Amino acid sequence: MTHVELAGLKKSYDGKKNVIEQVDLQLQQGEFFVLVGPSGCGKSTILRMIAGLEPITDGELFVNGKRMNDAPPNKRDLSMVFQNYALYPHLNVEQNITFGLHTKKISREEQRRRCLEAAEMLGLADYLRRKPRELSGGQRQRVALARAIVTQAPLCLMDEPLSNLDAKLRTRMRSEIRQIQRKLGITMIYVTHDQTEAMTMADRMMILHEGEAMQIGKPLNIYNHPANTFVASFIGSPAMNVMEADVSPSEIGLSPHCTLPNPMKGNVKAASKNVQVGIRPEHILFSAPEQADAVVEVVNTEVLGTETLITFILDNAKDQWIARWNGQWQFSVGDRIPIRFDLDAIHLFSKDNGRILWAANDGQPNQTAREVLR
Amino acid sequence: MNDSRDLQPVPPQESRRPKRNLFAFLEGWLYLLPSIILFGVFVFYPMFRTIYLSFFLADQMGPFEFVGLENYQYILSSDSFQSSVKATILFVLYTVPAGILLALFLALLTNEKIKGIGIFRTLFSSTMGMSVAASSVIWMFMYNPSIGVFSRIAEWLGFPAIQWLQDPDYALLAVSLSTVWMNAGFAYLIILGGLQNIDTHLYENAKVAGVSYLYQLRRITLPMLSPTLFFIVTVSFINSFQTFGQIDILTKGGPVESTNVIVYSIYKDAFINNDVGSASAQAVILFFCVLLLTALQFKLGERKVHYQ
Repeated sequence: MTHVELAGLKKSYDGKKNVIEQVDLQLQQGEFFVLVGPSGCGKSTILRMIAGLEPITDGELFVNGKRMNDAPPNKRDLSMVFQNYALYPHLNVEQNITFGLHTKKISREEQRRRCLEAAEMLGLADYLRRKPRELSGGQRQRVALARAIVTQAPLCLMDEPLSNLDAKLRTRMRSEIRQIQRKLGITMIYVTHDQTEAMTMADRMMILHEGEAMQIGKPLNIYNHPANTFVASFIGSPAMNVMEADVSPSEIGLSPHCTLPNPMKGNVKAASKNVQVGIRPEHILFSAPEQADAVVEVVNTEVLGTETLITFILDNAKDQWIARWNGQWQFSVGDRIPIRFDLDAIHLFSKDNGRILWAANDGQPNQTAREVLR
Repeated sequence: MNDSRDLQPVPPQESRRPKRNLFAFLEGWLYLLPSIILFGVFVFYPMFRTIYLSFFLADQMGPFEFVGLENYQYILSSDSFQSSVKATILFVLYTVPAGILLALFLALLTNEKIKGIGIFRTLFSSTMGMSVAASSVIWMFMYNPSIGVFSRIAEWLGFPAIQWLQDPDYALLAVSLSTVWMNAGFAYLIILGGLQNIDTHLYENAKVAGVSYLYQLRRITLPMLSPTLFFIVTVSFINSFQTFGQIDILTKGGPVESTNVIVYSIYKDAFINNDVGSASAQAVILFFCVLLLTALQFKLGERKVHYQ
């Protein structure tokens, strides 16, 4: 069942330039939807328009099929978690969690019961009498979460809720939020600039760039089939290598010494266009010298323990590529190593508009284990 | 290469602090010196000199006879000083709460993002930029029984004209009213600043929760504003106790000493009656009253103040 629908949503502050350009979106009941993009792309603005904190310039917003463009925030039946948590410093944890519940005509006992339940769920039961300043960052974050939970609103909006936490805690809260969302069956719209959060949490996600939706879909589909160079380089860490190439009908030339067969041979029209080659770091492989596509010069290595990131150049020193190999590889700067490109994982993008022209693994994700196991 | 070499512990750094102590101490005082000199010359010396003089019979040339606590005894038993105390307390009660409430009201009104709000903000804070003398003269004209606007309005409404500054029943009220107006700009600006410092997300969360405006004012705005309010209450009290300019210009302490607040009485004793000893003693008494009140405020008020 469709829970939230955005139809041609637009936002403009000065009446001339749209900061949000025509967003269309349908969210299912119980879906975890992530809006992701670099800072300033308008993702928070969309969230605030859904919440009613920002007027909608054009287009329509439906919640449960009802038009909600002009409804005040409290009539939209939603809860919201802010980036800085927006806790009231003079109220204790319990008062913070139950703030505003009286407006929903909920009795004191019921407020207390819900508060205890949420606190129990989030491990805050021992802190109910404390003031926010006596809590750690993670605990404050949980109070903000608890405040959203006790409203029992079917829709929860989160605006970068984890960005003030340290990396370790962030990873943990990621999975905690996801579990709570599943348990309560609420629809979640989650804004983040962190592609890892988007990839790991989302049922579906939308990538935004300068107010425009770049791609909407399931995280893995987007990862495997980016619609354009922006998505390709935004999703995935380290980013996909996107490099210019000389293309002839039969070959793609990455450098004078490195040419790959042109996979688009069948499609002469597209094949002759200006293209950029995209390949993810994990698809650049170490190779036996005789099978190598190129011998490259190492510029930097980052050994992360389980894997190694190798930055290298082909001929042009400006174009730095990154390869990701399992295990611990110790190269010195200047080492020359043979590599091979996994031709089944190559993407070709138009140089003019960045759109995808051709992808080797069209329709067939490499990892189908998940589907098989189902 | 032996990798374990990389894992050697860092040798603890030997502390060199003790040697630096004396130097650092002197260095600190050196940095403080400019403000110590300024405070010393303009605040501490006059203060101690005042306390010293309060134990003497003195005129403007200096002390000439040690009298111990006689000045204090004389003052505390004098009717004139008692009426000064009464006038001062009334003046403070008239000006401080009214001034702060007015400033708070105006600040709440103008803490919205509306076109042209800057004009109102400038207007409301503009009294801060006016000298006490200039505004006093304006108010003097407004209170003037024959040409003043207040009499005109009273006349127009059919009320009898009031001699605002000449009637002992109204003079203090009239001076208070003009003082509220003069002080509102400063208090308004401080409170507006305090309001704008409140995190807007707190209000957005309240909006999503759907609480009423009054609830929001009571549960968010006022508690979050409490440090600012505490500051402005303290400063206003002290200010109010020390009011001089408008009284000097509007009423000169009269009529019938009804506006003869302690500060004005100090001035009169010191520079008109040439009794510096008595003036000093009054100044000392006023100082300790204000000190006591401020200490009391900190004691009682701090509990209700929520710092972020």
